[in-house]
Amino acid sequence: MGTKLPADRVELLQGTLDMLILQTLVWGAQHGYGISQAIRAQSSEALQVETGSLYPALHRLEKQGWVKSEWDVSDTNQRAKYYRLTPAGRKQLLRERDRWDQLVAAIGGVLNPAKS
Amino acid sequence: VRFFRALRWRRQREDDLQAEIAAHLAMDARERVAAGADPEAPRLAALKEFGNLTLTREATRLTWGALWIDRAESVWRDLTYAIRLLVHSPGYSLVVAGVLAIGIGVNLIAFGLFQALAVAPLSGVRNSADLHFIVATTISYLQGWILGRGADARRVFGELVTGNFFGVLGVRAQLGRTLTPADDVLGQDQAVALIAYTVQQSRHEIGIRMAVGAPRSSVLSRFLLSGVRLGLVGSVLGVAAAAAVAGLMAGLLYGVTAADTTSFLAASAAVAATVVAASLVPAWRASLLDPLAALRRH
Repeated sequence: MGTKLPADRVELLQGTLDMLILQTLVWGAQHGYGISQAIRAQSSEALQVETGSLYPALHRLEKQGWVKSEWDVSDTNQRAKYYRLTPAGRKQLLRERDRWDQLVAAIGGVLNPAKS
Repeated sequence: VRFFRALRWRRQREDDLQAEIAAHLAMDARERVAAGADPEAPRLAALKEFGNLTLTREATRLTWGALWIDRAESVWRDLTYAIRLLVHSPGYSLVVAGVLAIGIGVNLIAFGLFQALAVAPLSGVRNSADLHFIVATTISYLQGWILGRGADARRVFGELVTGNFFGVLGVRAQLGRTLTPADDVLGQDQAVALIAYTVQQSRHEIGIRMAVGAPRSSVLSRFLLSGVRLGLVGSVLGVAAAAAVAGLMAGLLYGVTAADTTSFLAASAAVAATVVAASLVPAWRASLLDPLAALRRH
């Protein structure tokens, strides 16, 4: 199955979704729709999170104790399930960011050997 | 009890997820209306963007850890899917069922034959599993005999056996008695014979034929011909049916063509050989018949 993506859209790297979700929640509790919108907006529309990945990821994160969920009413009076970062989730986010930075530096070093 | 608690908990989560997804869709739709679309289109667009609802639900459910009822449910879903597929293309299903039936049938027949010939006890023989070849002490040799006198005389094939032959095999006579060891110690020119009671059909007709002067070869060829004719009709029907089925299957299977001449010819030749071999024996037997004896019996 080939997924058609607009030219300016990039596919999410395997294993980075959890990090992006956790990072989004740093600004406060958010519901699933809000998370997907935030990721899209902050990536200038380049990253589009499929709901088929988003909700499984959210439930997985909750099971691991990195986020906590609770039902609340949004400012537009819509009942929604809000996810909140836990202290453990904050630590996990730091670990994943570290790993990501290392990965970027390592790949950058390979791609541009002159600079390093 | 633990299972039911797990099940209830599971149902709650299910409802929870349902509500969560509904909220997502509602928010998405509202945003689109705010962006200036008419009310019905955004709901559909939101649904579309959400992707496959069932897929999302299933993928999410997987993260909860599996209960055995989930596995049972997935098996059940696979099953209903398979049934729907089969119902959707009845022609294909029929061909598959037919091929399976033929395959199973051939296997059953082959096994049944093997069972009857090699495994199952011989009918009427006691402890046939303990049977061994001890030819030297019982059976002597095959020989032709003349049965009856004068016009009634018939040529038959028989075997010279020792008196213990039937006792060893445990074969008993339906009527009268079989040979006993006592029969071994008769005088020089006395002999005891056991005559099998057999019924042979169409003896009468052959008798008439031969009586009005039909030579042996004509009886032989007549019997052979009737067998071969049957075989030919069968072959033609079989090849036609095979071609039809192959035509259907060719579209479904990889590397199978409808008209593989060599295999059709080979199959036909095999059938022909079988038919000739099978009709040869009765034809030969019929041609050996004594016409007068055959007529007199009726």
